[in-house]
Amino acid sequence: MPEFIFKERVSGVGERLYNNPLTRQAPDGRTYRPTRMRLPNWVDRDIMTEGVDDLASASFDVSIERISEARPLDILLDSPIFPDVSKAFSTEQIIEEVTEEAPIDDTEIIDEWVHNSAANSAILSGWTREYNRNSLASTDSGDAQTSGVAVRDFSFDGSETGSQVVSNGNASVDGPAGEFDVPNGGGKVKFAEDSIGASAVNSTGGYQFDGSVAQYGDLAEIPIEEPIRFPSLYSGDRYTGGVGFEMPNVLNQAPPEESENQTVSFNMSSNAEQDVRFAFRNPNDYSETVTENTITVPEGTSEVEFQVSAQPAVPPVAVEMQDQGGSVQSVESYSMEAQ
Amino acid sequence: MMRLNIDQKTASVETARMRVPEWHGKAAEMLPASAGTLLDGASKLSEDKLRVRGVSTSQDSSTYSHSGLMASGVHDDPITLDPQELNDWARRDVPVEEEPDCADWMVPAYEQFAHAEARANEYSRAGGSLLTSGGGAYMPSINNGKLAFKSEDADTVSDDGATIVTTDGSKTMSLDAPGASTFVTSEGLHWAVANNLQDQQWVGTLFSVQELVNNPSDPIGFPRVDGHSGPLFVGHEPSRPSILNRVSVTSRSDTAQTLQFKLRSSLDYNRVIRSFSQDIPKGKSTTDFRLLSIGISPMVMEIQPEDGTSVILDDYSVFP
Repeated sequence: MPEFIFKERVSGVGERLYNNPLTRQAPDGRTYRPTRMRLPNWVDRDIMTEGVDDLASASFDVSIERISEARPLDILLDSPIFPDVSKAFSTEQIIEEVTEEAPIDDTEIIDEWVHNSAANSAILSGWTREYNRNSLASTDSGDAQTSGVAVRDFSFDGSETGSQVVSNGNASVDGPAGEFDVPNGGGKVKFAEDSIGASAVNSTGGYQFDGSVAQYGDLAEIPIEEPIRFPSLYSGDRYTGGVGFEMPNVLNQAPPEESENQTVSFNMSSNAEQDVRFAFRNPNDYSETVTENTITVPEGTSEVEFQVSAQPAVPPVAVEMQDQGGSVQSVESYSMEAQ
Repeated sequence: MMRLNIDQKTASVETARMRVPEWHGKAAEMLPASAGTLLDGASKLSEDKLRVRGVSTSQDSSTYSHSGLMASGVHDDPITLDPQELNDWARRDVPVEEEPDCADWMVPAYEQFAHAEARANEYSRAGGSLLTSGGGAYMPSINNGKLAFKSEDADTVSDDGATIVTTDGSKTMSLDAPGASTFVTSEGLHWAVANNLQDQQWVGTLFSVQELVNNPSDPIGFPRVDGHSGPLFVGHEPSRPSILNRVSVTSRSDTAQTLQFKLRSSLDYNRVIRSFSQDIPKGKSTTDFRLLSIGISPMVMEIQPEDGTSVILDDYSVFP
């Protein structure tokens, strides 16, 4: 019988509940770290199973109200690696700045992929700081061919060259659930049963190519009270002409109190009207979407609110929020209240 | 139920965690909360009374071999701890002369990334988790998820004689460059190397423990980059409470040398409880010692070889 709740005790802290264990063994013998959600202490097996099933039939009546101008980018956190680079959520916003810092000299700075990777690194390392205020995630960006790009359980296939990525139209990334293809000039989020990772690729040919990976260790717990950016990679004319990649924020929507009815509210800032995909994913199997919706947020900062109901109680779920066009700057708050 | 020594993060930075046995801390849980401070005090007192006795080494074989080690799994790298052999492979494999987008600094970057990934694979096979990264530390930058180099050009690093290693930006540490250093904080265990300084680019390599491997019995190579050999951190886990632990450490070394041993507290890695050194011969050998105390808790053992040597830890056993 599958387990839905795992207990952990930390010296000096006490007991905690999670939906997955700290580590698991893959069929090839490697241990990997599942993506975990911390569960409230009132959950039980019925809520984790019947509650999730019941949520699948839910419909949302979403209210969206613009409350102010978009927040300034200054509210984002600095990159610890590039603290002097401007705060941004898109590589396109800082690529010129990074290029001016280290122009191509044909000796050491030999190609544009170096600038693309550095800009991605600045964006993703800033995102990691913001996301990790409530959780644990790790990212890496760089030369996916030679130096390699890897986080704990996700890495690029080092045998591929930039030319092969162009001719295949994608690059191969290895994760706990096996290899998956990432489209060139874009990205992919891999939702497997117990792990979530993301990767983006940009290759113009040649030998080297530029890659990024992210691993969601523990999902960000609500309430979210500080902004978390939506990283936007390769969404500009200078890249390979792919669709770009809007990296989602995936949050742990765990109600603080047990109830059959909950109100969810969050704020988002966007520099243009933009569609945002909004999906609940099964905490027992992230590859399964329980229910999904697309909301349209106006330019500026908006307050979004909706009700959810489920029996025997609204369960914890993984919430996936993905900007559909590169305009949404950040989710600035996220909370849940029992009715 | 899994039991762990410390919380999973402090100030947004993930800690290096250790699984502790079921019996650990049980007494504290059964007493009122007010007794916790007293028990913590008693536990430290117990650690302070820890004694190391009877350290001895016997040679099992005079031949050094790297059998049982792993490759990176990312590249087709040779299975070795020898930096020259790895560098020769990288020099052949990276087409610096043929491809216009390949630069010379990518050869050591390639070599060091492959070496670091291989050691992480071995640490994982043994039951722990080691986060690593290696490559161009100026641009595109190096980040292993716990630790990162601040992006600075090689001229600046060279002028300063040091570079900056950072966790989440709020905590920074200085690393002499070129050079290597072990960084231990109360909740973190790391080794960092900076080398191959050119005009702009330079190469950095980072190793951080994510989850300690307790009493490993699968081979793990000690990290070795250029002339530097780094430490291995393993969890020292008794199977039950005891006033005596017999410890047996089997290792292979490519040369006769002196290993440094440091026992660190599992509640504060900065706290070194005891340290000692022991000569080992070339080849395979087993070092035995005893720990005596009022009550021995799980600890972290740091083993540091001499610079420029290749060493493999085959087994770390604790009885009981």
